[in-house]
Amino acid sequence: MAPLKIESKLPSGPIEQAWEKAQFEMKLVNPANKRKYNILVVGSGLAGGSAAASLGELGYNVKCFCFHGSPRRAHSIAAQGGINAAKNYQNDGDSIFRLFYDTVKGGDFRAREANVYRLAQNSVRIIDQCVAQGVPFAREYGGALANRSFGGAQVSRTFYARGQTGQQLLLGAYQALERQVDEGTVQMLPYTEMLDLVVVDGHARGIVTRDLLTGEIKCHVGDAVVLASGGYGNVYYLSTNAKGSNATAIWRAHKRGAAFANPCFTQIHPTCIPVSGEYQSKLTLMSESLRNDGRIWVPKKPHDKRPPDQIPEEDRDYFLERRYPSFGNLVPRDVASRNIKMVCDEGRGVGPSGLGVYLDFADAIRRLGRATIAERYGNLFEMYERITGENPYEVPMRIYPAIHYTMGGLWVDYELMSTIPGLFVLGEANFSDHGANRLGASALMQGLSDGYFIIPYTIGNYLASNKLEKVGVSHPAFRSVEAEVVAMTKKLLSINGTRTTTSFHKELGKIVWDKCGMSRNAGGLEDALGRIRGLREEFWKNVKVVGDSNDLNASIEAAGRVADYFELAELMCIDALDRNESCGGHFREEYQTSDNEALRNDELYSYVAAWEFTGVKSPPKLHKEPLEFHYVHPSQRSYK
Amino acid sequence: MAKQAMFRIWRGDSSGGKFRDYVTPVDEGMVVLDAVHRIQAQQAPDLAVRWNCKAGKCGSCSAEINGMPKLMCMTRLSDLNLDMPVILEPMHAFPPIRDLVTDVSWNFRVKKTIKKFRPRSPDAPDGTWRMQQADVDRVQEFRKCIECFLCQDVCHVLREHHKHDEFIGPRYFVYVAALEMHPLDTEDRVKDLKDKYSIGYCNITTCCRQVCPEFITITENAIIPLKERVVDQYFDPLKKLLHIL
Ligand SMILES: Cc1cc2nc3c(=O)[nH]c(=O)nc-3n(C[C@H](O)[C@H](O)[C@H](O)COP(=O)(O)OP(=O)(O)OC[C@H]3O[C@@H](n4cnc5c(N)ncnc54)[C@H](O)[C@@H]3O)c2cc1C
Ligand code: SF4
Ligand code: SF4
Ligand code: FES
Repeated sequence: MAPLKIESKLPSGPIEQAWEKAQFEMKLVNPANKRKYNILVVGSGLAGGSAAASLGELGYNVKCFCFHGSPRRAHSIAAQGGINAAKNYQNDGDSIFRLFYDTVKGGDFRAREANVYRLAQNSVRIIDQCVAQGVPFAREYGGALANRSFGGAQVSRTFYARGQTGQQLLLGAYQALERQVDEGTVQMLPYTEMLDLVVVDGHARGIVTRDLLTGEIKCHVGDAVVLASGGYGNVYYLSTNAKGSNATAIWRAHKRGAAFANPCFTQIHPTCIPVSGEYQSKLTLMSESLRNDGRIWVPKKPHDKRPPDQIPEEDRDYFLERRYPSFGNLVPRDVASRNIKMVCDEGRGVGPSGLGVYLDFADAIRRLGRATIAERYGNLFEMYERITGENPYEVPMRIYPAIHYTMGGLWVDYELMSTIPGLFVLGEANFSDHGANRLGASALMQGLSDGYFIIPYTIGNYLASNKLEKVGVSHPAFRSVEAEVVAMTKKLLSINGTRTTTSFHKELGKIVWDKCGMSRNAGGLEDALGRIRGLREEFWKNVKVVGDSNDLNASIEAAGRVADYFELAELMCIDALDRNESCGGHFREEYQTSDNEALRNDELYSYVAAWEFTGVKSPPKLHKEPLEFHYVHPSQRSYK
Repeated sequence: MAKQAMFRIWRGDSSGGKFRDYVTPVDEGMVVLDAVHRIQAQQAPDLAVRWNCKAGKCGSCSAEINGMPKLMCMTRLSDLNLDMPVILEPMHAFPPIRDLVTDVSWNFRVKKTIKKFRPRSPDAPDGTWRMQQADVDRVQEFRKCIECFLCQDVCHVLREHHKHDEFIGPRYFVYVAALEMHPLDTEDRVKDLKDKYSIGYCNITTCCRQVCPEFITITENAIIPLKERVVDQYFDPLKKLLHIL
């Protein structure tokens, strides 16, 4: 394997012109030649769907893979809140620079300035593109687009479609994708899961897949591979991510030489419905927009079991309003989450498990009337009631933080290419734009910016600059990767142990959540590493995988994914242990201010940690990409 | 506290199958999908079931619960009578793959035959359009659809009469309505509704509307207005009269 190189290819010169200049300098593929290039896109969520559609429209020959029966089932469908864009329709002083500034600051100064600036520039075009696809964003009286404000921002720049922004955007991308399928430029391969990456002469040249209905293992050759397979939050077992979301595509690419960046930067979302039982398989998110009008509180006294309506005002602690007078309930996600954990650790949590706080709309209903609240949050209230059986108009909601998003992911340069030439990574799967903490409504923006507006240019630059040899599936590299994939399935089936994959996953998730979740410390992380390694050994000796390899077999699918989680969880803990500072979602208890705020160490840790895989049992190698700030001066975040 | 409940689950594949009974403890707050997972974890690791979001959004977990088409993730056990076995079957209108998983790909093929969105040219020089919230709301209702296909499953034209080759089903009338009533769209799909999609087969039983987990008023807001468009365009009495003369 060629030595791993971290070259970010950041453009020089003024940041406002950087992307335009970079585009200008990129090599182009002659339009007539585009159809001769085969591009494999893994994933058809917002990032993959928009990329496949755009590449198809340019004339490339695209194959798009997803493990669902239809692109519309992707995790992106569940996004509720909205998508940011610096349109300044409200004339409240928003601008590209302001969105850029907020994102760099919100990410606690661990993102690249040039990437974030480009994201803010593209945000403006995304909205126009989506309207042209028929996405029904909310409108003002005059027929122009409406906006609202969202956690961590003091301007209104979030565009939304009635609590189903993700669905509406995905339907837009899906329709664009279908158009290309009709044109014959894109071939959709549903129910097909990528299990490995094939690298030939140092370039990504193909993937190996499993047909989830028949079990057939197959090779696909391409001139470039685009991974848009989403985040890895499901390492934690319980998360708000869709069940199917998993890390296999990015993890196996990592094992083939793609550096993994900032794996410990994971985000906890403060407003999820609390866990209700031991066999619960997933958590449900309630949109952050609820914090605009709901007030968060717990009883002042620990273990106060009175029902909420019998706890008088003077016995309640509105702890966010008390501790953060200017932002109150709207502090960023990491700050809110940690404070919620703190009050629950003090024994003041509510609900049967004690792991919950109230999100109360009584004041808002009194002030604005039930109708206004229904108009703003009606479908969220309805969903809450359907899931919990409690009516939030009458009884305060109960919420607790849960894993929601992963800022870390495969390392990519400014052109979204990983350390393996020809392997591009988009959307939540890469690490690029959010630093140590993502702001609300920015993930949809990033996925679509990557897919509609960046990859169409940068992939051309790669293809035009590299002369790739012709290879076929009979090439030895393909044969050997395919054999490894088959061997792994066989191995999993042959163990025939006594414990189910789910029980391993649950135990692993609990370790990572307790020790590498909302807050971390060196002792806990060391302990977690030992336990993860022990549990992994047991997994490979004692897991029970049932059924056949040549059939629809959820048991095999799950076992392969959990095998990867073990290795990834280990890297997350190593990264968390290595980063001796607190920043954004990474809160190391040893490094905090006297007010319990995250304490960064810019002198030593102002870098991206890009890890190189060196073998399952050998320590990964750290490469540092230093971060420089020329436009936003690093400051201590303060939301007081 | 732990109450027991019996689940009678259809196990099999395209060549046939039978019901098997599983008794499992149930806790407060559980939905049918939680019970299925518990059974999968403790008794039947090879039980096939598709799901993704557990929030009623991805449309993967459709099944028939006590004979009613429903989403397993949004059906709370407290709303079922647990003194009787809870019967879980795959949807009937589509070919079974395994256990609770059906092959719904017919739907995606149907969708491809429907003419796509074609917006009018922009209203403003900056390439943007103006739309009223009322118009947005109208299409928004149809665009809430999560493609769970529960409405397709219940519709007798598909379920009993198997008109899959001629009739697109309520889901796709909703889709056509979303396009036809979109304030920016300029395409015409009315002839197709009559000839290719056989909207005439629908006799407004409203079964589809009653099972829709997104509460889309399928019949009143989508199918009936589309039927009216067909009538206006093709069966206008005045035009007919002219034709006869
Ligand atoms: C409940 C919830 C609400 C959210 N709300 C918001 C919001 O309001 N605003 C916002 O900006 N963000 C929000 N987010 C975050 C945002 O939705 C996600 O970050 C974003 O949708 C990720 O998009 P993606 O395209 O990168 O990945 P995904 O949508 O996860 O798509 C991944 C795709 O990859 C495919 N795939 C994965 N692995 C493989 C494989 N091995 N082989 C083949 N295919 C594979 C899948 O089939 C799928 O098509 C929310 C997230 C959650 C969980
Ligand atoms: S109303 Fe029409 S489309 Fe709906 S179920 Fe009845 S016959 Fe089918
Ligand atoms: S219209 Fe309703 S029932 Fe039919 S597919 Fe859509 S969401 Fe499901
Ligand atoms: S799991 Fe997504 S709708 Fe039920």
